[in-house]
Amino acid sequence: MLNNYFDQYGIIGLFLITATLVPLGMLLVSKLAQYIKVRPHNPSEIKEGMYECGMRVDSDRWQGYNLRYYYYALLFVIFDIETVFLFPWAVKYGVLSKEFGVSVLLAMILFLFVVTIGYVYAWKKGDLQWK
Amino acid sequence: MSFQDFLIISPEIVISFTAISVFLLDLFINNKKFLVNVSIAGLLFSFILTLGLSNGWLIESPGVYAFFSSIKLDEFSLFFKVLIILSGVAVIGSSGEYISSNIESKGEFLGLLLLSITGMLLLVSSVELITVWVSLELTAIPLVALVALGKNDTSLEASLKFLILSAVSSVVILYGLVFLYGYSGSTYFNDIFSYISSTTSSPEDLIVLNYGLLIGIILLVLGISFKLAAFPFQMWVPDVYQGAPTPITAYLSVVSKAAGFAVLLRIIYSVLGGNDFSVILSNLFSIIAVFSMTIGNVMALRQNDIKRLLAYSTIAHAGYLLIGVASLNISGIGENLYSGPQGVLYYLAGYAFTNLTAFLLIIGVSKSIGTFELSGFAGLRKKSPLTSFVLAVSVISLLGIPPTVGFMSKIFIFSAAVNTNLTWLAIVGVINSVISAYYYLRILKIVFVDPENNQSEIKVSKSISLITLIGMIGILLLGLFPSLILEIAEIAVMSIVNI
Repeated sequence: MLNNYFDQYGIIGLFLITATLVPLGMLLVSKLAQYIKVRPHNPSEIKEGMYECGMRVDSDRWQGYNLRYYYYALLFVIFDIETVFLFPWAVKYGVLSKEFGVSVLLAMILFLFVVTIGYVYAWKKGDLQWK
Repeated sequence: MSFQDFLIISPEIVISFTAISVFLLDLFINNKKFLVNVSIAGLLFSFILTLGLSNGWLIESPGVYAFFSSIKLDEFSLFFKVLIILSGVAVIGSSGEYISSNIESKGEFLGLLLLSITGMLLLVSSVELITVWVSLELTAIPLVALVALGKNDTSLEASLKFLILSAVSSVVILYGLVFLYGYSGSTYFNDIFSYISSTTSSPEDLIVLNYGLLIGIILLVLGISFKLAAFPFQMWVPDVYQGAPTPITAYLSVVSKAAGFAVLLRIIYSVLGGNDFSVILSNLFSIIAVFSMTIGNVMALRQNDIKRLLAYSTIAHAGYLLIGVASLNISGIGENLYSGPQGVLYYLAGYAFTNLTAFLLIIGVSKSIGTFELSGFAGLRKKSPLTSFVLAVSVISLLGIPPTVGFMSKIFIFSAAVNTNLTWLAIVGVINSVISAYYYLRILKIVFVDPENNQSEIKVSKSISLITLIGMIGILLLGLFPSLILEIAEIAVMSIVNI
């Protein structure tokens, strides 16, 4: 069993080797093509830019983002997760309530209660104000 | 799920609801002292419920499972629940003044601390791998935020270090759990135990066939050593202890460590029972113990900040405690089969009294002298004789001099090691105790002999005085009458052993 187990890693190893060799080979072929005058070599400012199309880049990647975006993102995630939990619960509610009775409903009400408290907390702390 | 399931976790439910109400009340109430009272009331109510669970007022008898047998209420978990809740009461009760002057987010401080306590209560009673991991996370994540609540930059730095290392250790633990599940096919401690027992035909077979399980358990132990502040994951301890608000430092050094040892002992005795894995594990624990003791004691020698000094001292104490964990009586010969874990439980109870007394006094004194430098404590004897006496008792107990609890617990741990043919480990422990005498006695020398260098008046708040006095009485009482805890500890250990 164990030999089989490590054989599986062999496939991953092959994949790794292929994934390294193919891009390296492409770069190498392109470099060699330059020597036999198949590939022209005229660098320009636009060609060496970060993006080949779209707007011209006019600043570095390292710049400050406003922290308020993260407040909103976090609050969004709370409701997102809430939906993720609510949806399977609602789909299987009939099956679950047959087995466990009213406690299925109570559990979800408790969950919604806790999430709402988190929302009230953020609201009252002023995280919803764009100031 | 029945009503009894909810009764079994009622202490946790009460504390988590207290935490939520503290968060909510903080938004609408300006009197923050009231929040401290609410938190203590919640903790005391859950303490009463815990007593009710252990005495048979709420359920028939301990030893019952709940929530699809992922939580077990037995004497072992009750022992740790009482220890954790009472330490929580001591920390919150004495930090009222500290919070009002040093912490900006007061409601968050109390609420997050309560949530972390909830996680520890669940951790000590969980008997299933996923429950263990979820409760470990519940204890660690609020602590990261709590460490950051101090007002200065060192606090933020400490919090970031704590976050990263706690994430790394969580991943190591999770990887260990994956190995355990993958090789045994179950996440329940009892099922893993019966799988291991059923494959045992000879000791060699056991280890060769199950080396995946062995890797899993070793990873798990290394990950948990983060919680214990023991060897492979001890680097965070001094920085975090220094940067964190002092009540949180006290909480980390006592409660977090106790919960870590609880889960470690439960895994050893419930999952592994008494088979040949234990031999390898005993060696592993011996190595971790030697390194923790030596690193902790040697590094503590040169510290001038009392919080850093006590941080290295907790690393050393984790090493002493691990001697007790390493003393597995595999051969089953001798009078007291489980003297090792029994000693660990006694040590933890005594250590809670000792370390909480020391740290809470430091909160009180450093507020008056305005520094954590050791030199600031010079001449404390003249300024406040009672304070320096209580500090002396707790330091003597940390060092292990009779008639304190520190002495008795070291006796039990070292004699358990000798009984299980680990005499060399006991000798290393004794040598380390001698090394530790230097820096513990140095504190006493500064407090009692050195001339005072500043004129600040020492004013310790009433709550801190009361709690540290209770702590000092506890140190002496448990030292003089060890059977108070030892008998409970024996019952507690017997309740987790799978044979």
